[in-house]
Amino acid sequence: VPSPTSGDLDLAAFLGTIELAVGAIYASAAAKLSDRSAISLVQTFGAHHQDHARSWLAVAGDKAVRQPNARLLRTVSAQLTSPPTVLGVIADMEDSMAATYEYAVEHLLSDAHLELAASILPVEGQHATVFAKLVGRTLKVAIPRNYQTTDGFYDRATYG
Amino acid sequence: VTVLNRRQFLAAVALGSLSACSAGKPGPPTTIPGSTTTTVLVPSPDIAALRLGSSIEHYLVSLYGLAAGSGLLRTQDIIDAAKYFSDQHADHAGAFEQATRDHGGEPFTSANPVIAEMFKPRLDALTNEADVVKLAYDVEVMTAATYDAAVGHFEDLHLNAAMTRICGIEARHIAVFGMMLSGLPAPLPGVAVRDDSPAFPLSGLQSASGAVAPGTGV
Repeated sequence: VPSPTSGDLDLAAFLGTIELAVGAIYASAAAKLSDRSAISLVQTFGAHHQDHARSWLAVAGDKAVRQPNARLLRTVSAQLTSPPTVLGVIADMEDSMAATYEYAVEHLLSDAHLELAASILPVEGQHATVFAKLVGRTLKVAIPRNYQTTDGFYDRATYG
Repeated sequence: VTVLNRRQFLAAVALGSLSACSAGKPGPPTTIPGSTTTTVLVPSPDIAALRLGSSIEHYLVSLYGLAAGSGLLRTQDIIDAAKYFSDQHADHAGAFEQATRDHGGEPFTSANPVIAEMFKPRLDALTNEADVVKLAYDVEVMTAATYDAAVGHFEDLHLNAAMTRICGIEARHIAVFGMMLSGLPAPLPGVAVRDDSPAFPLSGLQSASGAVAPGTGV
């Protein structure tokens, strides 16, 4: 589909808000860490999410919301209780982000929106895998399935 | 083998399909009326992409099998990854083959011969497990790029999500091997740290650069 539908714009706007929230969560997470290599990764991945947010806001038309998703920000931030748990929480969040993008690919219709979602999805999965491995999860826990699924995706009914 | 960026990939779609048609077994043709007196038969680009997918997955299975039998692998984490990823690629191959059948095509059920020929010199030159990890990393990168290039261009829109379901896992393979090659969280004894094989794209976006052209080898 060459032009975005109203549904595409709604979903793009939602993805923009959750990317903004994830970017903010990364900023909070960096402040709780002391390991310099972990901080560097968190800052790099946080910048990725800020870039992703900008990309979605740019294609959400007049439906763009330039505020972090408050519910996601509140929910995940509350889990960042202690430095040892931070990277594990972020790994789980990134798994949910990858799942959310799989959901997006299933529902977006415009070629441009579809391609953007497809180009972000693999990177969110890589973020998840890197942090899962860094916190010592086994390979089969870090990559638990043979296919990317929508399991654990951020649902607009809950986070919208 | 020709590797392409997204724009080149799109330009190659039609050409790849026509090449497959002349090669003989592309799946059911789509009839495109040419004029009142001629008809051009063009196979479905969807089927061409699915056949390319299964051919790449079979190549990866064979690559991991050769690596496992090479006697070069010594680190348990690498051995475990090669086995696990091989099993996942075998599953992906089956999924592509089933999708090909579901769309009326004839599945491609063996390793892509053109890709195999392209990587043969590197396969023959493997001398240690670091070489194996780097080769696997590079083939996984090519695979993810190929699948990413295909998304957004299927006639059957459901295939976009089918492709990202698989591409997302190949990307995680890249992350695991990229960590090993980058020394994360600590260097492995037999794998020297290098800075040309990151666990994730520094741009934060999956690229279609390096995608295999549609129709290649299938």
